[in-house]
Amino acid sequence: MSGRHRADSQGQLATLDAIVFFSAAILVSSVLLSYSLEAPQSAEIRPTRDPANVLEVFLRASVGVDIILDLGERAVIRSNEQIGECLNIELRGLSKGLPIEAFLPLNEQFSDTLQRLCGLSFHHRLVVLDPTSEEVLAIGMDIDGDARNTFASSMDMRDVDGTDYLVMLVISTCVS
Amino acid sequence: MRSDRSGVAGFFEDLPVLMFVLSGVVALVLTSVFVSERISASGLDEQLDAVAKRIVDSVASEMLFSCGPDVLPTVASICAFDYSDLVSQLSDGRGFALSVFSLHPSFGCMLNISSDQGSAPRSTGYASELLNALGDNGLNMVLEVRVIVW
Repeated sequence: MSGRHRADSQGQLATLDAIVFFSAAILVSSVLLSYSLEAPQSAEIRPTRDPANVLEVFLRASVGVDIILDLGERAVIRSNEQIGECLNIELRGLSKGLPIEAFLPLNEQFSDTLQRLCGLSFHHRLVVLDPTSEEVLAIGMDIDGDARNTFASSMDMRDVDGTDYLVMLVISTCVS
Repeated sequence: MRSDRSGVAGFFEDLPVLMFVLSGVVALVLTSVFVSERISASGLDEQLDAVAKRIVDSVASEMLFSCGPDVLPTVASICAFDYSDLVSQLSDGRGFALSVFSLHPSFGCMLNISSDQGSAPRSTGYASELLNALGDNGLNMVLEVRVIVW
């Protein structure tokens, strides 16, 4: 009897140890799996196209369509005009007190072009700052998403009058 | 007789212990294999992304200088060049697909080259670059060079 009793006690102790080992193994596995699976989700979602590259080719591209503007007198923007030059014309008009609504068709074309270049999964906003860092033009929607998923690039642009502007492109993922 | 009984009883009493220990070991081994597979796949992806970036940079610079330095390349000169040898050299025997798309003012595929390797890719790398080119209609277009490597 005493032998059997001793064997039972040892068996129960061994089972308890095994359960502790099993629990520890499950705990370690869970921690490893959760870390391994969560890592990509917490990582930043980069745009497929580099914002600096997008801004550079955008400013050098042609407008693509003829656009008629009412700037007091009828003004025609030809399809082969470069976007950078048209932006200069708009900035000069705005500095002379023309309303932003006068350039609405041009800005819509800029926004459509940027959307195509950035990709449909991304929001874009083109901002132009004057030498006093005041925003003089903003095209596209407001971006106030996660900073990890927001990317920007800027370029200096000189007006024909010699005024230096800073053109900034902000790209953010549509995931909020 | 007592010794036999103890032996049989001990074996069956140890079965739950064995089951718990084996289950724990299997859980640890499976988790380790899964995690190490993920890490190695992620490392391979990064390596392939670097190869794709190298190919895109070389092809884009080849396109930009196709009409000479400081001259905007034309779409015709870009499409006329054979990039197969250049990409094959840079891909180090890996499978690849090179595509050139027009994004602005209209969307369309301009060029498509791929390697003959038809095996299913375990991992892939991707890179793209935008560049300007002069179209037949005199418009300054935006082209995108896309490379997938596996």
